Amino acid sequence: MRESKFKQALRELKKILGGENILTSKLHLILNSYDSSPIKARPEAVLNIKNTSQISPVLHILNKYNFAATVRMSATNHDGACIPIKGGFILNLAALDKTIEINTKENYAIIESGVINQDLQDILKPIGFFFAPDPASQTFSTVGGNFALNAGGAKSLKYGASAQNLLGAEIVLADGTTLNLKKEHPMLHLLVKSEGTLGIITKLKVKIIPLPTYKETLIGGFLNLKDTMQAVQKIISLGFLPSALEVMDENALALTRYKDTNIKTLLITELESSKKQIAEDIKQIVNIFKNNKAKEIKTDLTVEDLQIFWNTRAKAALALAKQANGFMSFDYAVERPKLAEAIEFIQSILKKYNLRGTIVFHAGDGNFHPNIIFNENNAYEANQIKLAIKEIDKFVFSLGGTLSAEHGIAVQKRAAMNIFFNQDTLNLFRKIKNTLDTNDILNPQKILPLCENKKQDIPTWAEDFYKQAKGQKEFDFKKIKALNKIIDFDKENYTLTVGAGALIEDLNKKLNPLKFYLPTSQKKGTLLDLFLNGKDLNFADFVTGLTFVCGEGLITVGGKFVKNAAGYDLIHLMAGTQGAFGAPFVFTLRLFPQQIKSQTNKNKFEITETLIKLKKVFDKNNIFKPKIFEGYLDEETKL
Amino acid sequence: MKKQNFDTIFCDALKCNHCGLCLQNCPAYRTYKQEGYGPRGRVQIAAFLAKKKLTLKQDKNEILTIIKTCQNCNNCTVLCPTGISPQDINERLKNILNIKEEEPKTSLIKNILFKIYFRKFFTKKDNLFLTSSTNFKQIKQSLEMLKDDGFESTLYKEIVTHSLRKLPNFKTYIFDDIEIYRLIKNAIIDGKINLNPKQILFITQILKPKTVKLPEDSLIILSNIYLTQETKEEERKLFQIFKNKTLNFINNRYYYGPNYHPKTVEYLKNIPQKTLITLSARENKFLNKLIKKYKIDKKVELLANLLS
Ligand SMILES: Cc1cc2nc3c(=O)[nH]c(=O)nc-3n(C[C@H](O)[C@H](O)[C@H](O)COP(=O)(O)OP(=O)(O)OC[C@H]3O[C@@H](n4cnc5c(N)ncnc54)[C@H](O)[C@@H]3O)c2cc1C
Ligand code: SF4
Ligand code: SF4
Repeated sequence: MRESKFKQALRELKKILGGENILTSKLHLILNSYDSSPIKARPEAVLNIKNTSQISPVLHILNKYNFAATVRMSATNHDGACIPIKGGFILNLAALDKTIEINTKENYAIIESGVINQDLQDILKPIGFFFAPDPASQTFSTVGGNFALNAGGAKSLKYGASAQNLLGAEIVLADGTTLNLKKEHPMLHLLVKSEGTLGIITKLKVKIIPLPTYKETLIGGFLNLKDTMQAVQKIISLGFLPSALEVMDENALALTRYKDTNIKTLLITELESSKKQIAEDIKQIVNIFKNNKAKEIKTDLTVEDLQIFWNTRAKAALALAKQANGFMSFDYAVERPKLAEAIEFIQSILKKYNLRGTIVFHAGDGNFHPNIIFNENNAYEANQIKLAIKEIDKFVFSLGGTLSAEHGIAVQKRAAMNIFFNQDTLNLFRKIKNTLDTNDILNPQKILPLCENKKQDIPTWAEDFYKQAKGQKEFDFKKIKALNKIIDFDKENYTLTVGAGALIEDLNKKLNPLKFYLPTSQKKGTLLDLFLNGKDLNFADFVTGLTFVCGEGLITVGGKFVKNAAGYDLIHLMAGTQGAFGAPFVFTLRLFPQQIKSQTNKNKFEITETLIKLKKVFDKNNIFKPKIFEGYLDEETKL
Repeated sequence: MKKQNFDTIFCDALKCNHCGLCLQNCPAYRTYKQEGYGPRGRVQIAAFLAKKKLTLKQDKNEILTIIKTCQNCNNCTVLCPTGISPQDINERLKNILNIKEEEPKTSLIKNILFKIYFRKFFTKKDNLFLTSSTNFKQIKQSLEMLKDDGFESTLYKEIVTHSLRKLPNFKTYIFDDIEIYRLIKNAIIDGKINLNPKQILFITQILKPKTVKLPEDSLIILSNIYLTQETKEEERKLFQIFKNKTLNFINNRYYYGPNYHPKTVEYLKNIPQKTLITLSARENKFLNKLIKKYKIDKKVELLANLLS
């Protein structure tokens, strides 16, 4: 049965792709069975896609015959994201590497999803621009892969990870429908960052940024991690926003000329602004270094010097690889002030389980990567790693951190999703997946845990809302006004957790005198209004955590960390649908040391068939802002 | 075929952790954009053979197709953090499958490519080119030839770790021998030579093969100073290979040989393309003269200028 379906599918695919682009030999299947993680599985066929227009008809066929479709680009992800664990077809999109448009007036580029990140940089540099996402794998990973996993790098502290540089996309859904999504479309982020489980990205519209006029890098060598992290804390709390703030630890330094010195950590600080400003900033930062007992401070670095530092940083993890053939990279983030604590804990766990590894981290945004090496054939070692990671997962969760800041979840971390997300949220994720991909063909069995083991507690303050959300009557948004308290104002971490009913004016009064600014230039109304009225296009980019109710229950996503790549992005979806999908209670926001400019937008979102399907998942009784979808929800309504 | 012990022949391939770092400048991968054609794929073919998950019988033809596409540039070897040489593994696969070397192995060819891609680089006086003694004569000759186009670079012969320390100060040191390059690089990382790893380059690192977007409606003029009446047989052969490689890299239309041909003017007038792309400065001059003299409505561009 399956066999004959497979043959029929191949016949139909041949008409679209041509026989030479369909690979079924054992050789090619085995060559598409791995990525940069230890997870392996073979597909049943590999399709070389040569043209973006082929994707829709291909998915149409695969959906009809119910075969899995997993996109593969450079296959450099660390968590099995492009491994076809359910068999089926690999869609090799690496040849979709055309640059379609570069617009230096409106600062965007439109590219196909297989363009290699570095190639885009190489095109932009001569015309004075750059593309901000800079994963260490920049020179060989693709922009499509970067966005699908929300990859980030050193520059993310200042310019955001991939998500913050996304302006639009063309995406094909499981049934072959092609969507052209602009920045203000509520589903843009949800679909693009879904690790290929909700749609396939064919084209991307991305932000390009003029190259900074002046750039300077400072390097401090410290005797221990604690001093280093204190210096980091101080730099951030004084309001500096370096374009990179990176720490190299002892193990990584052992691979450099610092090997036999007493310097145990290096702090690399990259500043971008005007020449005059930088000279002043440097003076201050040198002082911070000195006050925190830095042993070596370098300011007059040559371009080559810098290159070594960045290179060593990028390759430190891999130099480790020399010692064994198994390599795993994990990717957590916690709020910055807790970073040192987290790292110390992990160092102790690595010791406890006798594992070999380094911890590389982006000090500026609290993101850290324990990179562990092992021998592929050693089952004992593999088991030790499992135990160690379990302990680390729990600890990071207890610190309020995220399971993945930039690598994604895929297979490697899906079980731990149970620790980090509550039951309602996981159920909602699952329903979203089932609704947009009814036959479960797009990169199946990724992100979501296969079994669940957690019961959910509803906090007392939310009980009333929870009941209302499960009810039949229109939800009363006015009640949220009472939720206006600041829950947590973290000056060191530059985040604010606050009830959705808080007035912007009140917050500004409290924050501005202390030199903290909300991530918007709007001045009036409540945060809830700002979030839902679509007047500030970028505001949702700076909401790092959100708690809301919808028909599915009490949902919590994100937290006090700047980067996040765990689970589906519901924040942009909630903001974009203007309250029709549920009611937000609590926001965690990123704060800034200066006022930022907002981009205003008054467009209403367009109601599409896919969105109606999702509305039914979030709010089947239509009790949240019922007017918006009025008339669209009857069974017969087709657009 | 003899019975082979793949797990010993390819024991190094088993160290590969499939990170993909080696993919970045591989011309074969960039041309085919398929896993098998990249260095990681080549290494994994060997690794799967060693693990007995693949046999040479089954997909021999496909393996043959793949291993023939390696350009022997060694970009991968330079980049692999675990010290594997995918190029070398590919060579071993070739040996096992009895593929004869079609291209003469010489660095002259690299030099020609050199010139095209990195003209600017080579006009800088602060670069030192280090070559193994076996290649010395050839390279010297070709550098002489390149002088015509304004190339100036210092050439050094025979280089081992201790003598590098005594070398005069240069900004960059370029090697044409991968083994020596690796030796020096390790010595630098170990702190035995006081240089910055970025200062030493393997020849192909400055030949980064890129797909170049040439102006729409352009034509590459491939005839050049190397193909004259006096061109030696060996050089002709090299030129042929070079032509194929260039096409591989730049993926574009080309025309071969209008130079010094009586019909050149007529030909140029009649072709539909608006831009003519030349590879050498001398030819550029020559074509520009022709165009002016005969009022041909075309533009002439130097490839190197388009590349940088
Ligand atoms: C040495 C090294 C360093 C790294 N450093 C970093 C780092 O600093 N920061 C970081 O964030 N990551 C890092 N990574 C991880 C990895 O490089 C990134 O996750 C990268 O974004 C993956 O891109 P790729 O092209 O290899 O995608 P792949 O690995 O091929 O695919 C990744 C996932 O995206 C999906 N996908 C890809 N394209 C599409 C598409 N068009 N439509 C739908 N789904 C798609 C795939 O199905 C898969 O699930 C590193 C990896 C290595 C090996
Ligand atoms: S030698 Fe060059 S062409 Fe061959 S695999 Fe390595 S990088 Fe690719
Ligand atoms: S760089 Fe080395 S370890 Fe990484 S995939 Fe290539 S051959 Fe394997």
